[in-house]
Amino acid sequence: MEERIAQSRFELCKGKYFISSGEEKGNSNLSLQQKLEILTDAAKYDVACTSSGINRKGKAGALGNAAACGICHSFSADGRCISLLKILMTNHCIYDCKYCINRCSNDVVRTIFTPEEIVDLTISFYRRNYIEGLFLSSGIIGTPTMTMELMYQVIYKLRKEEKFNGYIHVKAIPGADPFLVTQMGYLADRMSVNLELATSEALQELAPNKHRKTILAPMRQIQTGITENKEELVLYKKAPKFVAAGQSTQIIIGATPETDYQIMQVSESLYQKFELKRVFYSAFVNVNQDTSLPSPMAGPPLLREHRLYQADFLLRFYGFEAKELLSEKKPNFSVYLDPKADWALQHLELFPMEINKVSYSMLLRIPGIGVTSARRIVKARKNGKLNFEHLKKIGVVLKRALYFITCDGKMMYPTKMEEEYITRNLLYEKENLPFLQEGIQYEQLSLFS
Amino acid sequence: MSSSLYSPDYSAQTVLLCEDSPEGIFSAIYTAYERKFSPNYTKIELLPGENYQLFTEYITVEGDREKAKKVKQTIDKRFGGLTSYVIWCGIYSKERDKADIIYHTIARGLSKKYRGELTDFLQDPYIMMLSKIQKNVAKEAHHYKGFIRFAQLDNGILFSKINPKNYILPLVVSHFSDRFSEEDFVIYDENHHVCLFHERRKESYLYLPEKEEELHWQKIEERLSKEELEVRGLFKTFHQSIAIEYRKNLKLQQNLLPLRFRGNMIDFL
Ligand code: SF4
Repeated sequence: MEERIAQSRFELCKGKYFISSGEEKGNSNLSLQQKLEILTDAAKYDVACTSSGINRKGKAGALGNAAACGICHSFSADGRCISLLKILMTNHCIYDCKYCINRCSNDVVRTIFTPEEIVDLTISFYRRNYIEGLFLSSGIIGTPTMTMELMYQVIYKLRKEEKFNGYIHVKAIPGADPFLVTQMGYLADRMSVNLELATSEALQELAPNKHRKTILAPMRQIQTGITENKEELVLYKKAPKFVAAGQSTQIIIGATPETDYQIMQVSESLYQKFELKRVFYSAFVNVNQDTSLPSPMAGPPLLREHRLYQADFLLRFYGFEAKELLSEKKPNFSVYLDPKADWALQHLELFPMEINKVSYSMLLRIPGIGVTSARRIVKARKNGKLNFEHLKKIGVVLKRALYFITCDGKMMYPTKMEEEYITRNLLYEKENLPFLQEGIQYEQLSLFS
Repeated sequence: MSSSLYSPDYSAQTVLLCEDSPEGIFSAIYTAYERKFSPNYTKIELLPGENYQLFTEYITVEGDREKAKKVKQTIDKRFGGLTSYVIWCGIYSKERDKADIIYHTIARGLSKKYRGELTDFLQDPYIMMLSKIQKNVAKEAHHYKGFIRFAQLDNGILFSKINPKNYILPLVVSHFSDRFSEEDFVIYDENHHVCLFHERRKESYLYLPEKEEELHWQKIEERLSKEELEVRGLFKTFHQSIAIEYRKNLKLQQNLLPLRFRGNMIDFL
């Protein structure tokens, strides 16, 4: 019933935008290839491309399934995973966010996909196993509500008419009619609303048309929807699923002067109070050469982004709290050391820990031991004591862990339990950073040489 | 833990030679048990065998369906599902010493001298080696779930050619059959001369192609339709436009998507 209402509401704007858009600015003869180029280029700064969070079997008469672990189908020249067809529906936009290439004050070629074009692209790419599904975002065309209505048309067609059963991630547009957000949630696997900037002051400055409150409202709505849906599913197994792969968000890093501590506190509360699945961090790229923002010459702050992801993992999987890692006095992560090693060095009184005794949650706090190796240690311990040789085979990074552990009471080498000594040794073993490689110019690079 | 088993240069006194197939390997394991050979002095090698050693008895075991079945049943009955999955990954591995590793893992399992799931007993060198092999195979299979590229042929069939190091087709059957149950598709493993066939809404099966069929498939690229090439063009456009110039990092790209996969991926052609 509700579906029918939503559909009839589209009739109002159906056609109008898709037809008129082609005529605007004399772009009516852009080829599909050109549109794809423009609307991919305009979507690429959104970092999330994961297809994880939901297992769904194939269905008779339908195309596709979903794998909870996520599947990467390719990697682009920047080394990022390509999993979803990540595009904007349109790069028309009524807003003027300083950091965004699509802002209305920019003079760029504007275009819009028709629903058929997006549906065809998604299906022909999916059948050839190029992609895991679709990630649809959009500039604001007309009003937020109108934009979401158009997006809903695309997703509706894909799911209901074409029986597409692969992964779908859709952006909720802040300020759109909540009714549409709900409708969309029943068709999409994941939804996200971008927080954009960690503080509302920064948002005000860079995205004057956006407001913290309008962004948080759909986030809260989706969270409530997910919780209610879970209860519903307990009572009635066949109830339609609502945003089953959870919601995520994105924060831009380095455009404004927030500290890592502020950002981590925001992330923590997004995980705790909004139950987000993921917070993504996007190193700021000054695409508009906007002089009021950090210069593009410096390059995106990749090391900082990397540290935030490391710390984010510590929050989600390692049982850390933001206030253990940073404080008002030490508001930013170390350039030299990863957040976990940094934490361990501040807490040498807890080390060395005995591998054959300490609990799983303490194992997780040892530098050089990840979730997988901690699990394997706990299981393997049942069959007898572990020595350093075993640990190495299990996958523990001994050159990092050796300062912090004992096996059967013995350390691997005689080691001074001194902060300075261990720091020096850890730094000597260079950290494996994914981006300190050819082609990257990077201000902090000099610190390592 | 008996230490004789752990010294790498212990010399086996009996070597069972078998064919590189589940049937061959399981039959050899069956024979080792049937003839009551001690695992401490027995090795299983794939034909034609490694370096011949003096004072060693070599026995070639013929593959035998019934014997293999019994070993498979024992594995299913005695060990958990996870362990049998790990053993199967071992069977599909490219490693030449896999038969021996699997044999000794099973021997450890049947000795019952362990606690919990057999594959968690990582102090045992054979189980550790099997775990390594399994990870390698499972990783490649997972990669192929994403990296396989289909081309649509004129008759509507989706066709893909792959060149994996390990024999991974059995590990991706259920994934692709479920995902594309409404399609007709073929995945051709050129290295192992085997292919996976799926007919719309039917069961999938593995199939050993004739020489001429293989030749036909190897040349299929030359006969693709214009429409197919157009779809490829669109994807290449997408692939190029999605990269952020400021973050360009070809090394990272190569670590994550090694060159050996790219020969069959239109993304890079
Ligand atoms: S709303 Fe802001 S960020 Fe989104 S497309 Fe428009 S200008 Fe860009």
